[in-house]
Amino acid sequence: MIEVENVSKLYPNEKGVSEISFSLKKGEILGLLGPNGAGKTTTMRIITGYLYPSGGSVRVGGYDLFEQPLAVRRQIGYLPEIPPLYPEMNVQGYLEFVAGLKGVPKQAVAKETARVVEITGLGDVRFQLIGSLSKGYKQRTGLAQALLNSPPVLILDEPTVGLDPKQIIEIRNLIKSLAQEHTVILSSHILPEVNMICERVIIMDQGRLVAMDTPEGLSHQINKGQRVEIEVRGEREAITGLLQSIPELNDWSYGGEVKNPWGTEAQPNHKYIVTSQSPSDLRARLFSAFAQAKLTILEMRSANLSLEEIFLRLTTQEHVEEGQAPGQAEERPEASAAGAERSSKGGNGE
Amino acid sequence: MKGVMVIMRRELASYFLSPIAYAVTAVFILLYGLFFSGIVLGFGVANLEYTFSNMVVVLLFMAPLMTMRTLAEEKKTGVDELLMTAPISTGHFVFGKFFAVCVALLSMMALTVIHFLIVRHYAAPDWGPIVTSLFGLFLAGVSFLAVGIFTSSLTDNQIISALFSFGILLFFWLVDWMAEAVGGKTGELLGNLSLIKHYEDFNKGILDSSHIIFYLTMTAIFLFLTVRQLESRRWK
Repeated sequence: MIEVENVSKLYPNEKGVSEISFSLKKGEILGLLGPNGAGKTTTMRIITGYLYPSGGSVRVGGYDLFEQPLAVRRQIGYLPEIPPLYPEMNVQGYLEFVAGLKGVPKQAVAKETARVVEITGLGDVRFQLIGSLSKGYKQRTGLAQALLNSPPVLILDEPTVGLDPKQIIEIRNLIKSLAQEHTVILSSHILPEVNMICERVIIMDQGRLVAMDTPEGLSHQINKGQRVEIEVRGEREAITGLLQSIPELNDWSYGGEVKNPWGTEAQPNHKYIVTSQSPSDLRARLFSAFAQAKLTILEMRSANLSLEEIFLRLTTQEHVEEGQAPGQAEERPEASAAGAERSSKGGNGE
Repeated sequence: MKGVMVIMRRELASYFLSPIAYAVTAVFILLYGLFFSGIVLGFGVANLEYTFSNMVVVLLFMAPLMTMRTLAEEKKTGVDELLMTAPISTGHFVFGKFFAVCVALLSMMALTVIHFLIVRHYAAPDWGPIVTSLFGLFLAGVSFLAVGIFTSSLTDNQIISALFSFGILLFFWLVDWMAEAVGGKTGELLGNLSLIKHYEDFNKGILDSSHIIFYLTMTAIFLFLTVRQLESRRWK
């Protein structure tokens, strides 16, 4: 449905996007994920034809963006980052205007606007001036506009920004239900959101495509080894010493102290995150090692990376190499604390 | 063609919802009435041509105010992202905007009909020059509006847009004086570019196709430039 090939957009000073390629089948939901300034909006603007790429090609529904721009635009419903609204019009008048722009036949306009008003829950404010609407209703009006004339492709730039939690859930469910008939690309910097809605995720950073996979696939891709979280009772030095003596471990980090919830023990428990490339189950190895050392494991669970951690890993790698770790430390205090006490075996870092 | 109508209808509705429309119309009518009564009472002639020749200058100042928001405001509020990704060609879009301000100009000029009735009631004026003057005024106004739409596409600031079109229009007006100073072939060429000079014949009751073509060419050039300017934004 959508084919993006080697698309670049160069700006004289700032970063645009470079060499982005991906394709999307009918009915898929793709999430574009990345920090602000990663190039998500630019990528979406290129697909919608608002911007032309400096290089590469875009095809939507089989039409080339350069050869048949109007045919491409007819396929797309677009909700920009700032909803494109006229404050002096009322919702109904605005939707009728957009329906006209999209070439909805005159007889069908009333029915079509009623349909999108129904879907987006705008019934109560239908005849209010857009300028007087709350942010959430403005966002919905923007979404309603994108849905007019049922375009096969929906491109939604940060569709849930500025909404309250209840509205966010509604809009997410709405987008999910739309995916049955539409192909959807949405951008977000909220990770759980993308995880929840999207079947495929593209992670962007500084204009480049860093990774593309299903949310689960990304987890596997990053986290090749096993990752286990343990909570242990005992002296911290003893535990650290024991961990260093286990050859199968590739890396471990200290996860902080945990107060015993029943208060009978004076000493706090300690949390660790342990990773290993070993083919055998790490949990069994840890159990026997700690049992031999007479250290009690209170809790142990395998912990694969959440999408949020993957995202941080992928997009902060470069910053760490450039020595900008402090910025990262703010976001992940536990990681930097662990860094101070990292074992000598710690190879792969963050 | 349907796209042109959709854009035009919305633009007109929006124009007449804005206070600018009424301020511009009020000042226009006020000045018109002032010139009219001054000339008719002062000289005691049943003549509207003098009034019209003054009104061209008034229009030169009004047109930029009518057009300044047409494209600049949408660029600022981000609505251009909807319009530039809608399945409508940029040419149709610009035409829609242009026709809307033309209709607004017509509606403003239509209010001057009362002065014809006054003249007709008290005297027997020569209708020929009045009709050609009115026609010329409209043609000149249309070319001013095209300039204004072009400058509105250059910026997202309405004030700057209005200033730019004042600049361009005043240049094409004063080019007449420059022409006299330069003289010779160059002077003649410059003189032919003058927006005001081409109006003079209309005012005398002469319908010369060269003047009509001049204004229409000006209009076409600036509308074409607007389309190019909007298209070039996609490359930025």
